[in-house]
Amino acid sequence: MSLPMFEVERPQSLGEALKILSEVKGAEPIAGGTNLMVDMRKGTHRPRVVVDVAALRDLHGIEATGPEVVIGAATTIAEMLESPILMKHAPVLVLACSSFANALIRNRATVGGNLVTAAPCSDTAPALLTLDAEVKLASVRGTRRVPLDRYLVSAFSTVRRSDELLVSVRFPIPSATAAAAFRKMGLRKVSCMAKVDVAVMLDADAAGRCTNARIAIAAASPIAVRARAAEAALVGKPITPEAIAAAAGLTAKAAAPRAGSEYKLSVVQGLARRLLAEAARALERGGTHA
Amino acid sequence: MPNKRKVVLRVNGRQHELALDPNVSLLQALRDLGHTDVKNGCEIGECGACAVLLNGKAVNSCMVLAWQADGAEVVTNAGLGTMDKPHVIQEAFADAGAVQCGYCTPGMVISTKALLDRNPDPSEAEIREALSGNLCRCTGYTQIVEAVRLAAERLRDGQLAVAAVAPPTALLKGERVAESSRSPGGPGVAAVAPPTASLKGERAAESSRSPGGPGVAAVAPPTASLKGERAAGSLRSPSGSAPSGHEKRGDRR
Repeated sequence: MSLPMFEVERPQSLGEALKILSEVKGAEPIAGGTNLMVDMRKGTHRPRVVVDVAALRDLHGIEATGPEVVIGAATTIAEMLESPILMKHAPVLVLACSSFANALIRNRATVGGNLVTAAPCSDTAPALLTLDAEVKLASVRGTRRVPLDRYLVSAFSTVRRSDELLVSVRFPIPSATAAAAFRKMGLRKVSCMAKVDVAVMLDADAAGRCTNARIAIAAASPIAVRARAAEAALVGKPITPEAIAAAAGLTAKAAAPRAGSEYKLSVVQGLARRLLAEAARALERGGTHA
Repeated sequence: MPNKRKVVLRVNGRQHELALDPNVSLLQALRDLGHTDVKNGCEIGECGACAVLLNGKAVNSCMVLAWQADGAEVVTNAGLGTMDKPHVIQEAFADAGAVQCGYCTPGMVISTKALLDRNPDPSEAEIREALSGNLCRCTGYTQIVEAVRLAAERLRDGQLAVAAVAPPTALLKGERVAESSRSPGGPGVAAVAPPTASLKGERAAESSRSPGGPGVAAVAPPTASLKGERAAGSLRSPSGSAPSGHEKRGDRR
């Protein structure tokens, strides 16, 4: 099966890449290609010009700089899995990466590509939502930072304009006392798309009162979303089994599965309850993740 | 029509200067060059039959545009070893009965190589994780996992270089000498890495290939391996069961 014909641009710098994206009609960036190659073969995506951004230095690296962690958009899922910085500051993201597709795909797929594609079942999105991540979008007109939950609009739809390149993902370094958990439910243990992803983060004061909560789900609604009502219900109160059960119920209310997939509501509720309980136990132990 | 692009591919140590259309995948370019050991399975990144090492990392070559591999080092299954000089991993796949129709095998071998390069003693879970991108519709995976374990064990043994060599009598009884077919001194030379090689790390197993190199520590009678089974090619002993590594070791050492 051959690919439809297209032109190729291989910019040597970020500036050159942005210039091409702004001036060349029908130009689209490619990095790992694990989505684009499939879509082009299927014919659902027909870029006229493919702009290879995989090798741009500005799009690489994982750094903890002062108060935040910055991940270059062309960082592969495999690189994230092996990052000591992420293991230390964002184990929930490492867990999400470990469930991502399969070992071969993880060596090519990038975090930027995952967020630009914005599939409903993105595994990195829910984890990054619990981390309050932002994406940095660059174009010849300048750069802007957009919180991930505003960046993600709907299935395969984001606020990125066609001349913009997603350059990096960043999130504030989480509180040292916070605990997080992630679970993916799919048809197989590996190499599958999520049926439901749930990621949670809890923080509490010395008295055991919840000071911060994040709950995000993917694959159970058109795009990964935070369960804000559930989060709000937890904050300011002791993290009791009753509070967790109530929050899990509210998490399911944030889900909007397609017709025929209503079972996902119970899965979301069950996973949320389980993960919140795991995070609460980890909080008691003073750990950083369940 | 778009212009063809000049692409330099370095495949299994050989450099190819090609002029390719921009939409040619690495998979297609490799197969057009004659590297048909790289299999075309699904072309959507699901099956792993087209896996190659791209700068040391196992990737689906169907997911890579050929020009994205410009200047990169590509290693295919046949770049690791051949029928005459199989790689330890390839031999282990044959010995463990991990090959049935064989279509997934080159990709499986590549993923195994990438795993063992990083992790010489993987657990079963780590093996299954490393092979998660490679589908096999024949074996049920049990023998493949066993093959990886066997390969890991043999590579580690090569490192440890227990310099004991099977006595000639054992060889004459038809016991296999795994290394014999790789040996540069001809089919009769059973090469075992000496203890010094082990200190240099994992090269030990491969060092047995270098003519007269440190790998050649012992010589078996020329007749020995001729009477033995072929090192690779025969998929399984008549019993049909996958050998446990321990039994094999007992036979060979």
